[in-house]
Amino acid sequence: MTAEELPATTPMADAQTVPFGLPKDSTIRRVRLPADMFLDVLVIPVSHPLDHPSVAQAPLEVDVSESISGWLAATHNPSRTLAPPSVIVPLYGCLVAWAPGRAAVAAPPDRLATLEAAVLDFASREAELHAAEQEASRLVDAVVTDAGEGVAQDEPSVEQRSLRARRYVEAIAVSRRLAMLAPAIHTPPLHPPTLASQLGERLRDRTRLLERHELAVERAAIAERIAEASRQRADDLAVARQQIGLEWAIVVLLVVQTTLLVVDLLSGQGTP
Amino acid sequence: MSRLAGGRKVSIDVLRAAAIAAMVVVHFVENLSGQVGPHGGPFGGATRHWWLPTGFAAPTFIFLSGMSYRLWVSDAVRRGQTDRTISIISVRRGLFLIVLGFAFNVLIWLPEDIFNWDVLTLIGCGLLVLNGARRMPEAVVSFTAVLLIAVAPALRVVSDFMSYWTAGYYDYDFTWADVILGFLVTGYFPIFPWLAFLLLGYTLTPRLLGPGRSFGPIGTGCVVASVAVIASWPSLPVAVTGGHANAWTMFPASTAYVLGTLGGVCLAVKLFHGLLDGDGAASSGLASWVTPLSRHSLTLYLLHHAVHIWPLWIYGAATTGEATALWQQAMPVAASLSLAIGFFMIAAVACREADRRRIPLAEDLMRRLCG
Repeated sequence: MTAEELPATTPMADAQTVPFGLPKDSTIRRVRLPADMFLDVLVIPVSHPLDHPSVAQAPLEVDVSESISGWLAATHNPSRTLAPPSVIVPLYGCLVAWAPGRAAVAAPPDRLATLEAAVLDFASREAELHAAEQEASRLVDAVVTDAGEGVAQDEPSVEQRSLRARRYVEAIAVSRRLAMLAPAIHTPPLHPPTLASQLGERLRDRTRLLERHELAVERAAIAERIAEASRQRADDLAVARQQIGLEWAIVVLLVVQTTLLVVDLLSGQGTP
Repeated sequence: MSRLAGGRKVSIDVLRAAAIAAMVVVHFVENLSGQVGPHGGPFGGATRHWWLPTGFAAPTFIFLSGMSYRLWVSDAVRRGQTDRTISIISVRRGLFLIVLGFAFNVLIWLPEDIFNWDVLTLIGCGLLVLNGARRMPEAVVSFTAVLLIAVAPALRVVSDFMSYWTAGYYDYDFTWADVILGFLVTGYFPIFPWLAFLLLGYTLTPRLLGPGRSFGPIGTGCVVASVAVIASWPSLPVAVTGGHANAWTMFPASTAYVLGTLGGVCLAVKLFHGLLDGDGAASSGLASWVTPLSRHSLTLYLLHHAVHIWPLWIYGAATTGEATALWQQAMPVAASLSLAIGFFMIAAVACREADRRRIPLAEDLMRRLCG
């Protein structure tokens, strides 16, 4: 669940260049998140906290908040169409922003590392949750389709039986994934609070991580229930089919035995 | 069943046309020129290896009937026909063929041969059985077919098969015992083991027409088993040999013959399916000839008997006073073979014309009466 920094050679798109007007030592780096997702982190060191009177007297070349908003808005991730909107959290003179695929931290150098670690921690959990959400949604659709087909069929094939068993296993895997994620999402507030813990709490609240997790858990539970019922029905049908086959085989054997008896009887009465 | 793709299979048409061609040749030659007995002429087959391929005609025809039934049911289900409708049509067609078979026996082979249990009555009964079998697990249907093949020699021993065969043809009395025994074991095409071709044609269709070009274990296995049975024939028990000296006989259908023809047909279907059933095959030049022949195979089966048997009976009655006097000795083999080839060529053209002009034939009559 931890973020992993990519090598410096990782190519980045033009849109990922540092927005114009920000301090020259601002950097962007790409971090790999769980579930094959990436996060571009814009790190903006500022000399004074953004709410410091000196900033008001001698403003930066551009409005940092606006620059960050514009940079976040430029992000486009087709797989995150249902992702929450971008979130900007001003905190003790620092500015932290997050959107799916991008994050920005503007803070004095002594707070940058803490805030960056906190936003990466949040982004990792969000990415993990997002993947689980998508998987749960996909599974619900798939198992409902399977269930519809299963009701219409009298004789599921071996492939269909194994598909339904696989769906059940997938549903269990998503439930497990969400269960593993629960402690991190349901973390109680730290006391005394720290800068990182406060940022984490605010990001979790603003992105409704808790509610999303609960919804995903419900979806996974629905998928698990339907998959279990479909699998059970397919197995019951297969067992019933085997029993019917055995009964038919007995009937066939009896018919053949009767034929043998009839032929034996008739051959005694035949012409020859 | 829904896995089977719709559309006409050129491979099946080619094989059915070949089976009909072989039937025409074998019937013309054997009825007009043949001599009976294993050593006396082409009929026996055991000592005339060049004549052996004609023994594949009937098994191929019956096996393809099972395949066609499977494809028809699959297509009917796809078209949304109810199980009841499929069942009604199946039963009607089965009964139609049984009645037609009896009428054919009376009109072609004369009334005393009404219960000789020919191919038509077998396929008619087979359709009735398949109508039930399509609701059964396929493994059971295949198991039934294996039992039919395995038990047949023992039944022939019990019923004393050869005592019903005189000089190479089936000879029975009008008694219930003889009629039932003929239907089950001793007739030309009795249920044991001939129904197995129909059942296996039905159950093997998805495998033979499914994806993959490998010949598969079924056809090869049957051929190998047949060769093994032939090789070990003298040492096999009577329950397998049926008490016959020759390992490869069509009447009775020996175990080696059944396995060999079954394997040959399976391999041929798989091979031709891989070669011929591609895109646009149904509109190819080959299909334009074989499809009409295949579509009107029932008509051809009836007609080719009528055109050579009726003149034989009439000429025999006119010249000798006995209708069957010239049976198997009317002309030399070269003449009867030429007549067979001539008939088949005319039939090929006539079937195309019948299709083009939409002239109703026996198949159309069956469809109109049975659905």
